[in-house]
Order: sequence, then C-alpha cells, then structure tokens
Amino acid sequence: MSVDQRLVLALLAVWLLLIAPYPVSLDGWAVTLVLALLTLDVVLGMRTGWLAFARGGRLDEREAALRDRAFRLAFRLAALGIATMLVTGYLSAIVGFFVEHQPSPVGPPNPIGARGIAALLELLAIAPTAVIAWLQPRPVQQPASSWRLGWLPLLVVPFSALLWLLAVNALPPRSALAHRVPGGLSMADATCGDFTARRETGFGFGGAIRLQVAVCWNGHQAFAVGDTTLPAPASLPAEEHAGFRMDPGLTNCRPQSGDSDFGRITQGCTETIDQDGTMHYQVRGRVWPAAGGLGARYLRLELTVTRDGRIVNFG
Amino acid sequence: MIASSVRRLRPVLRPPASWPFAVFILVLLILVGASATRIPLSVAFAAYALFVAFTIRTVRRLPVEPGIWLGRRAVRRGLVALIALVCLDFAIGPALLSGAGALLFLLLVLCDVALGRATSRIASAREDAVDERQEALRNRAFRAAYAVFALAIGGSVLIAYVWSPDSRAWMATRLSGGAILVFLQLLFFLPAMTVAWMEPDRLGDEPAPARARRGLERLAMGMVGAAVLLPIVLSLTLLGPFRTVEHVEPIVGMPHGSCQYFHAEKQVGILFGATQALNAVACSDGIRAEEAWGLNSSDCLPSSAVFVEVLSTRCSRTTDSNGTLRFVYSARVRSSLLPFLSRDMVLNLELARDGRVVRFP
Repeated sequence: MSVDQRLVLALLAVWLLLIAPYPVSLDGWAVTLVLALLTLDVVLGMRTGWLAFARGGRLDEREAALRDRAFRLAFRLAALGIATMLVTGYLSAIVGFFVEHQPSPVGPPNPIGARGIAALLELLAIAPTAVIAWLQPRPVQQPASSWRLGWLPLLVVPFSALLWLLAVNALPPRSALAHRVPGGLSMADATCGDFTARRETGFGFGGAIRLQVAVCWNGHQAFAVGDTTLPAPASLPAEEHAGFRMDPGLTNCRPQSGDSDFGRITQGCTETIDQDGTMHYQVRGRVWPAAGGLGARYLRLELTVTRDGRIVNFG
Repeated sequence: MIASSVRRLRPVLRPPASWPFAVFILVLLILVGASATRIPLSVAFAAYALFVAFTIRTVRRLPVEPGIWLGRRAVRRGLVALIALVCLDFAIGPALLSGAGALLFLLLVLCDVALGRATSRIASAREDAVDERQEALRNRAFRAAYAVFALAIGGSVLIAYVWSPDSRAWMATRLSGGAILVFLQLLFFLPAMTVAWMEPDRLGDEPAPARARRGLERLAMGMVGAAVLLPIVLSLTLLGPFRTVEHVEPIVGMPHGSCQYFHAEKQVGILFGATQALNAVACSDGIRAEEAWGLNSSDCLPSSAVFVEVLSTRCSRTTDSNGTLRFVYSARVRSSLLPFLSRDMVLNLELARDGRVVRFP
C-alpha cells in the first residue's frame, strides 16, 4: 500500500470519527478533527499536484485520463458518503435517545448539525483529490527549487484555526426559541407548557447552551416541573410535589447532542418564584472553544412566566 | 413520351406542420371538458398519468440520430432548464407526498426519459461504447457537473444552516420533503444534464428521416409538450376571471323577524383552483340584523382546493351602530406548482336592519 493510499485511509478514518453516532457529543474536539482533515486535504493536494483543480492544457494524457476517471468516481463516492451520513445520523438519534433524553418535540430544529455540515463540505471538496491519490501510481515530483514554497499551503491550517477562533468570539450569539401551550404534561388545577431555547456562538460552529423546562401555573404561582433539585413551589401541596420525580424529558439543565461538538460547555439553571408568583428561570453557561479557556464566552437564557401563564420574557 | 422527371402525386392527406400544437389543444380541451362535467379529480389525474406513460413510450420509440429534434442544442437546453425549474419547485414548493408533488414527479420522470434519449445516455455508457469525441465531451461534463453539484448542495446547506434559525428550520422541513428528490436528481442526472447543455447540434450526412418517422417525431414532440405545458397552463388559469354563483331566498316561519338564506360560490381556476363558498341565514327585525347560522369563523373554509393552497386571511362578522350586519371572508389562493402565483378572493355580506341586502357576495 502506497503512502498516498495510507493518507486516504487516515482521511477516511478521521471523517468517520466526525460523523460517528458515538460519542454523542465530541466535547469540543470537533474542531480538532476538522483541522486534522484540513491538514490531510492539503497534504493530499500537494502529493497529487492539485491535479483535481488543474487546467486541462497543462496536463499530459495520463494525468488527464486519471483526473477524468477521478471525477466520474467522485460522484459515486459522494453518493456513498452521503448515504453513510444518513445512516449514522439515524443511529445518532437512537444513541442519543438512550444515552440522554431527546429534546422536547417543540425544540428548535437542528437537522444536520455543525458536525454534519463540516463532514458534508469535506466530502464534497476532497472526493476527487482522494480518488486521484488512491489511483495514482506515484506522487507528483516537485521541482527541488519549489520545496519550500510547496509546504506553504499548510499555513491554511493554523490560519483557519485562528479565523474560527475569531469568528466564535466576534460573531454575536444567536437564539432559537420554541414553546407549546398546553404542553405534554397535564396537572389538576393547573396549565402547563413546554419551553425550549438554544443560544449558540459562531453561528452554530461554536458551542451552545440550552434551556428546556416544563412550566405549570395555577393562578397562584408559576413553577418548573421535572427537576427536583429546584425549590418546591409553596402553592403546591407537599404530597403532590413529592409525587414528582426527576424527568429530563420535561426539564433538563444539560447541553444536548450537537451543542458541545465545537466547544466545551458548562451550564447551570436556577429558578426563583417572587412574591407575585412569577417564575424566573435562568440558564447561565460558559462556552470555550479552545484549550485553557481561550476564547470563552458567557451566555444566558431567561424565561419569566407569571402565575396566570403570561410570558413576560423568553430568550 | 413520358417526361424523365416523374411528377409525384400530392397525397390527399398530409401531416400538418402544427401537429404538436394540435395535440396540446386536444388534451387541454379534454381535461377542461372533464372539469366542466365534474369528473372526479382522481380520474383526471389517473388519465394524465396514463398519458405521461404513453408519452414516455412514444419518446422511447424515437430513434436517436442526427436531425431529430432532441439532437438540437436549443431543445436540449430547454429541457435542462425545465428540469431545473421542476427541481426548484420541489425544493421550495409542494411536499413530496401530495397531489402537486406527484404531478411534478411524473413531469420529472418524463423529462429524465427525454434527457436520456437526447444524450444517447453517453453519461453512463461504458468506455468502449463511446467514441473519442463523446468521451471528451463526457469528461468535460463530469468535471463541470461535479463542481455544480458540490456548490449547489454544499453551498445551499451551509447557507441555510448559517443564515438564521428560521432558515435552519426551513431546511429541516425541506429535507423531509421534495429536497431529497432534488438531491437524487442532481446526483444521478446532473452529468447527463451537463452533456445535454454542452453538446452542440448533432449534424448528419444522411438525408432527412422518412416521412413516417417525421410524423412520429412530431407526435412525440406534441405529447411531450402537452404533458409539460398542461399543468403549467392549468395553473395559470388561476389568473383568470372569477366565476360567481349567488342565490338569495327568503325563509318563512323563523321567530327572529325576517330571515333570508344566502348562498354564494366563487370559483377561480380551471381544474387547478379553489372554490370559496358561503351558506348562511341572517335575520333582521327592523332594529338590527343578526346571523342565524353560517357566519362564524368555523364557516370560513374553502369548499375545494385542487393543486392550490388556500389561506384564510380574514373572517369577521360585525354589527354596527345602525344595526347593519357585515360579514367578510377573504382568502389567498396560491398555486402549488407555481408558488409565485396567487389571487385574493373575497365574499361579502351586508344586511341592513330592514332586511335590505346592501352587498352580496
């Protein structure tokens, strides 16, 4: 097996790791995988002489035939790759359901996720070059005078890392909100609703904090249900409150799959009920994309619901 | 002495040059007539599907050789543009498993069959089945097609993901709908579409095809034109005039004063369209006019909607200080196949307190 073929297999291994259904969350390592893929892309490009992007006039017959065959095969490779992504995406949903509770049905949609987007773009960009590298009998010989210049393209890797870090810090955070009243929970003498929100950095390519809470209101107080670590509402009889248990399907103070692929996250949730019976639910989180807390950002999500169910603040 | 040149007798009957247009008009008249006689839509749709199947069979009978209409670049480029429009419609328009989605799917199948005939299927042919010129064309087409495919799929997914949470939600809905079909169309047929776009007119040294084949060619062209244009033309009838039927009848014996029964139907479009209906009874006693039944928000529903979407924009009932009853039901009708086409339909009822009908419908 040639060096180029080994590089293609390494590329495939890293790509499969990026789309693998387990672990459900990469805990900030996705950016490392993407940079590794970028490095392998540049190395493969240099070893193939960037044949996939070369103009036809400069190629000899062998190179032209190799390039043409590569593009025909690249279509099939792209189809196979996307089919693999669909299968792993489906498995991911199953694993996510058993490892952690799935988001509320009214949650903000995240059909592909940042990991999926990165894997798709990588597949489409590198497929022809990977086929050329696999099929070519020997690497392109670089002229001796151009060796130093030949490794300059690798600078795109640290440059991309820097660009990503800047984007995650400079771009404003974005929120997606959803709620449904009445929600999935029913309670005697009270109305309940499901509230879900997500606040992300880097337009989806940083980390994100998540708010997921089931709120009920009975005319005296509004209160969260499903998290027994939160204080019990005074208007609810003790024996009724004792009947509730921890239910992450209702209220969950953890980031979910897709939230911490490109950044590490810690978040905490608090609930206070004021003397008017208005509930203030707050999620505070810290998102840091790189080691050592470099580029860390503090995010917040709030939900305020009055005792008669009026939403005063959400987002 | 017999002249050396033989004078051929003109045939009594000669295929007219306007056969394609004639086929199209005939099919249009049949379907419009079916609409007028209220043949169920399912029957009309089954008939259309059968017609498309016959068209595919007729197109497949055409020999692929120089001079045939599919050998002309302008025709092939038109075919590629049509496929692109159908894909765009699928990406932003009707759901896959809907009536309009099924219609678009049939169109797409027909276009793909025509595409295969137009390109002699060289995009998927074995290497030993193509000559050097075809091989060079195919190679250029695959390179261009891959670039288009990567930019279209990768670019649209990335932009939809990054643009806003709303665009992300839109992508989620489309991924479970027609966008999957668009992806498969591009994956399997984009190289052939590129070949069809790039290949120059096919020229031949042979004499023009025999008269019988010319007739078959014209018939096939007419059938393809009819199959493609028919849904478009029927969708365009949404822009035509409204057809309104109204009827007012006094009702005796009701305890609420003088009552009248109001019936109105407003229809737009031929076969592809919607009907807005109003059936109500309102009464007046000299002091105020009031609704007996039929003028509530639950009554503001379309009577029928065929390959259109109907969105109720206003449904209100008020009685002013003079005792005049006013009811307004307005709806926006949007074509499922041509989403940029829409019409507003309004039904009004104004009944004065003395029983005078001020405005209807």
